[in-house]
Amino acid sequence: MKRVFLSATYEDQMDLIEEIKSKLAELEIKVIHFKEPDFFNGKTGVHSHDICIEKVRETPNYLLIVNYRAGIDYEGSISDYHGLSLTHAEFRSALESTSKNRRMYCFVRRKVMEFFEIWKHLPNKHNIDSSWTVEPKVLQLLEDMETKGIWIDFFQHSLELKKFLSVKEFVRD
Amino acid sequence: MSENENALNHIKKLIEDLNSNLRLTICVDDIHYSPFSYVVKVSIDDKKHKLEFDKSIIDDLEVALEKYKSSKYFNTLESNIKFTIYIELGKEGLLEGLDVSRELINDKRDWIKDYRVDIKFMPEMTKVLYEGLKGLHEFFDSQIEKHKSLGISYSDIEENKQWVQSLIDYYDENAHLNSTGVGVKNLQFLKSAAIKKIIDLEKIRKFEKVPTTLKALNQKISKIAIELRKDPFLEVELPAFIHDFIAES
Repeated sequence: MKRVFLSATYEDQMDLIEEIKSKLAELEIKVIHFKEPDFFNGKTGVHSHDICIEKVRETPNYLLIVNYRAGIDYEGSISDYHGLSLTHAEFRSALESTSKNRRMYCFVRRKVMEFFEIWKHLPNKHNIDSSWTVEPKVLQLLEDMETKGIWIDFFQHSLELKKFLSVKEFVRD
Repeated sequence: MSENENALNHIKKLIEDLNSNLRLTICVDDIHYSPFSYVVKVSIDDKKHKLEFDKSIIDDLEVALEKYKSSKYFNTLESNIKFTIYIELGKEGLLEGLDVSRELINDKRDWIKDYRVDIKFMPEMTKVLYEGLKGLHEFFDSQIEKHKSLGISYSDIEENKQWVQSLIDYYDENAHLNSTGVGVKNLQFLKSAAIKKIIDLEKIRKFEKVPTTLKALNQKISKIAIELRKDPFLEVELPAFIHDFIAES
């Protein structure tokens, strides 16, 4: 069976995420996503964000979709991840996971990347105002991805993203 | 031309086109960018409301209007925008005269072709689906009786009735509708069952006068519609019999 952890903000792009879940199911790939009814499976005593991190670690494929928003902050128990968005913490976790077969697929909206290209050359990166259409924590995530040499696919629109997904080779468990 | 101007004009048109169905008058007062999303301010008679569309979907719509108009992709994006409007305004009871069930039935998007998913429903949704299945069963029964009295074929209806019966039996045995590897046909019937339930609630709403009850009915309808806008239902095309159902009701 092929399984993929879907890491993306949800409320701002709910339709897209639901469409991607359907697309992956059509490709016979089981999606591990926090909105799936069995995701938390009645687990108690563990912060929900740490359950996300645990699921990232145990799933062989990691799919990241980056748009304009960063989403909520990570509030779990791993101190190294404090100050990051939850999506960023999931990315770090995927990267740090020791699984040999792990595949990471990172997709970034082209316009977001264009903002990043401008931002990274700014003399004062912390001084961005509300006219910026990308949340600062998204830029931090992209910086981390670039620093660590992660391969990024860019998409101009959601149709392109879905087409890209169709040709990716996800690994089996 | 400002960024995403075509997409924003299209949204304004979609909202104002609702006037042909609504008993009240809806108009777009203002659209502006607020960090990461576009805010659309609407007036519905004397009531004001705000709708919010994330920048990413507006970006997509702008490209689709230019390059993919009349494509399934365009329909999908437009469907996403329309249902944001229907659900947001509908749950506030601001769309008097518009039945979301009809919009769900006439929805156009890029439907999934083949699909096998694990499904697990919350108790509230399970109840909705079960009651909807019972309603579908009754509908097929009455259709069969009608065809019998007219002496015309009813084998397709009988087949649909049996399929619904198998889902009802599954619930009766297990007290849930959860399962693994569920195919498109079962999902089509379950989606139809949810729509049947929405239609029933809309019928009650038509004659309801008590504001508190009306509010609760609108919220319940919106809640079911939201579930149908998610996986596993979102990309599942409704079966042809749903049109018989609408014609009859």
